[in-house]
Amino acid sequence: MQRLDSERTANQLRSFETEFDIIKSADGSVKYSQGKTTVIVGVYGPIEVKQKKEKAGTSFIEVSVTSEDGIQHERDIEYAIFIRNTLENVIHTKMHPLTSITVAIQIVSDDGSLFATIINAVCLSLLICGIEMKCLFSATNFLIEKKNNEINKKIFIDPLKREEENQIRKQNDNILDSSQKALVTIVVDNVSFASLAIFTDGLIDENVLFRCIELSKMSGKTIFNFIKLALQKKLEKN
Amino acid sequence: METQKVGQVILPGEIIGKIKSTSLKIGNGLNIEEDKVIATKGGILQYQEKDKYWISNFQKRYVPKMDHMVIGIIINQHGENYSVDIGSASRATLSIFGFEGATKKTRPNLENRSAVYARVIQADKDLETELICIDKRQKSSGFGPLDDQGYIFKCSLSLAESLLMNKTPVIKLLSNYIPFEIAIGINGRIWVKSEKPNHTIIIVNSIIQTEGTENETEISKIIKKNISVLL
Repeated sequence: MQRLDSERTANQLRSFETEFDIIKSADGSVKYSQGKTTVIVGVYGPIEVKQKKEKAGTSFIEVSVTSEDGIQHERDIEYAIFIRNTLENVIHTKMHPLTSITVAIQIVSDDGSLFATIINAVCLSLLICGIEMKCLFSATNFLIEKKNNEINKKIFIDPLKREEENQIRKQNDNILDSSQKALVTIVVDNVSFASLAIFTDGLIDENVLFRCIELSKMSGKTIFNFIKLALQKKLEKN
Repeated sequence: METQKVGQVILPGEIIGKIKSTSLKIGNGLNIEEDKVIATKGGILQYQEKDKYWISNFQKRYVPKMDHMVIGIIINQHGENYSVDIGSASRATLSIFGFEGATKKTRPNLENRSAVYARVIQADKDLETELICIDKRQKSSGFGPLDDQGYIFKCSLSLAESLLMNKTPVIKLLSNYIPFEIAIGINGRIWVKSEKPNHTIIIVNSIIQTEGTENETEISKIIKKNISVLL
């Protein structure tokens, strides 16, 4: 069970770091990093909505993801749609009808587990903004690896960019003999630790997915403890 | 409702307790589902006599509630209504008859971008927010247009609330040194008017710098440091 950053075990998360209120005009903003992956998230809301986007009875949720180079790639749009669908189930949208909640995400640096880092940062910034939510949510990335000469598949939590990239190169070259890899992102809530959303990339077995769901509950607890601690520190400071 | 969580940090989704009596009153950040009270915001659970519960947090965006005293800025006039920006999601309306002694002939003529101190009389998520510049006895009692010689600055909702509830002695201590007029809107806007611009700067800086502290000696130390520029 070797990791590329050697000091970690297979089911150990990297260290978290967070900084609040870094965008002054935003209602809630956060700089969040897991290891060397860093994102900045700003939440604006509930604010006035354009008549075109108005929704009767609920608030309109808008999510935008921007890469390090300032361009919205295909991947970013896919992430934004996924996050918006998750948020629509988490936020009490009926509390502020005919308004909009805007979430702007800027990726600062990517060193693996980017999607999970973005989702955790969005959760923190919504909490700081004071938007009514049914529950908190947190995400964990899993890397599933199977080498040809091994029977069992290995699960690595919170993978690095180098570990992830390995997989993409293999897919492009169509070399399936040496190892097969897949990526899973699982979002859990803080009430019953049930999965809210699952995002997969690559082929995974049923039993491996269930093992990942079990693991995501464990890592979810760690992240929620961190969020509570961060909130406590902020409240003490003010 | 009985709970041991008062004064603790609460996260959204946490169950606070079960409803037992009809006298229960819940405020900011709490919601009722079936017979349970569930938190919807993160912050510290607060309690006041006779079953009142709410969550205090550091929200910046204002959400209008009945009987709130707010500072609004007039955007434009439509017939008999002014539309006013109070920092919330939608604009509020203020009737031209909503001032003390206003009739069709004698009414205040307010220009765009001028400020008013008003009271919220209608706050519903589905309806337009309505303001009025008179109290329940039809007297102005401080409400009405604010002098354009004053200065308006923004602060957090929790600071405005603590100033209105007289939790911090900052205004009382400042008045020992400088004479000034002040109007505090719970929507995070504060209007200050004093004789000189540098007096206004000192007042604004002192209020912002003392956010979060309720200790009198600590606050007076900050004020004295700011005042020393004048001497």
